[in-house]
Amino acid sequence: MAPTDVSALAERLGISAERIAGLSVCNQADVTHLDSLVAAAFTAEHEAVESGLRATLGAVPRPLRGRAKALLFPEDDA
Amino acid sequence: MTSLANRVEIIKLAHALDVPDTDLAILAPVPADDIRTVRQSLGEAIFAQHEPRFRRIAKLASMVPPQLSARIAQMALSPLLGARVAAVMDPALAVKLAGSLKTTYLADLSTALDPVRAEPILSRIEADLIVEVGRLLVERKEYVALGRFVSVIEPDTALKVIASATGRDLLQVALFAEDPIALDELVRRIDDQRLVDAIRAADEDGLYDDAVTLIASVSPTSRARLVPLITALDQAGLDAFATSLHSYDAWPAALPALAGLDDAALAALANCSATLTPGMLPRMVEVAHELELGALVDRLATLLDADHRKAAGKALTSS
Repeated sequence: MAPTDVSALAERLGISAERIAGLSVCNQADVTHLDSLVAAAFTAEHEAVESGLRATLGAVPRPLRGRAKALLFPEDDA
Repeated sequence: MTSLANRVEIIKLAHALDVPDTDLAILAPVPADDIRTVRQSLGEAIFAQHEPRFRRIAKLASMVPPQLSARIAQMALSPLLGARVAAVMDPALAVKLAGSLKTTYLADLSTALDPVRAEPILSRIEADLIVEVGRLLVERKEYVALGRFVSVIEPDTALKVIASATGRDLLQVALFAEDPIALDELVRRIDDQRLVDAIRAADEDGLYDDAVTLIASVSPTSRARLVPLITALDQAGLDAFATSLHSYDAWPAALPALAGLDDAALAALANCSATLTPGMLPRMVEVAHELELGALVDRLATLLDADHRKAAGKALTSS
């Protein structure tokens, strides 16, 4: 796994590195570990939302499913 | 040394990341504010990933009657999605929807709901419904959700929510409370017996760190109520309490309240086995000096037995 510095974690979180400058007391391996946990949280949320939306789509009556799909998964139409 | 504020933030971040607290032990030297920033930014960022989709669903929900919308939500929307959509929904519509949803669904949804985003909704929902959902959360031991909610709901409503909570429940909710002012308001209004139950739970379950965290999180007035309850514990309880105070260096929070104890209670704590730990009594006395609690130092000098006076060493005699 590539080492991660505080700036990379901040970028993932969408904030400036100054806001979490206190993390620089940790060594690089610890920041990398934290970053991997944060990345996993993003993935878990993404998967939960995707599977939730697929389940929602499955519950929509078939005649309306196409429109619902376009609304919930617009990227599929791209 | 891990501070109490740092400990609480590590526990909250671990919950947000869905990992055991021990996985984040590496953050022990990190300032609590930075850990809080990571947690809050994480919440914002993962929400932002799909926010446009949540907004589309919210818009769709506004196009059908609330009762139908509620029925569809319960049938087809996972509680996580429900929580995310509620956060971007028009509050007036969300309140109407909430009135048509089952309490169990609302409780499921509450565990994923960001109370700050949902504050405009929570402030309009009838107190009875909040109490009903809150009590279900207590039953399910959803302490993180409860801790966040007590910070944004009316104190009267919060008191009703925790009316049936056990002492252990109270301690855990306090641990996760997001707003110390709201927590203090709640503690101020909880009767002594409930607080005794909470301290007893800490003693029975060995949750002394949580009891010390509670003490450090509330106002000096509330500390003055809590500390005597703790010092009424048996010898083993006093040892564990003193050890926890020392390991988090919580003396600055606890000493002013300890100064208000009568001689017997102060002597019992000061002369417990744990305070013989090297450095503990000198640190107590040092902090007492820093806080200008000279009278407390003088009392300790007369109340400590020979072994403890020796353990206190020069710190005591230099007063």
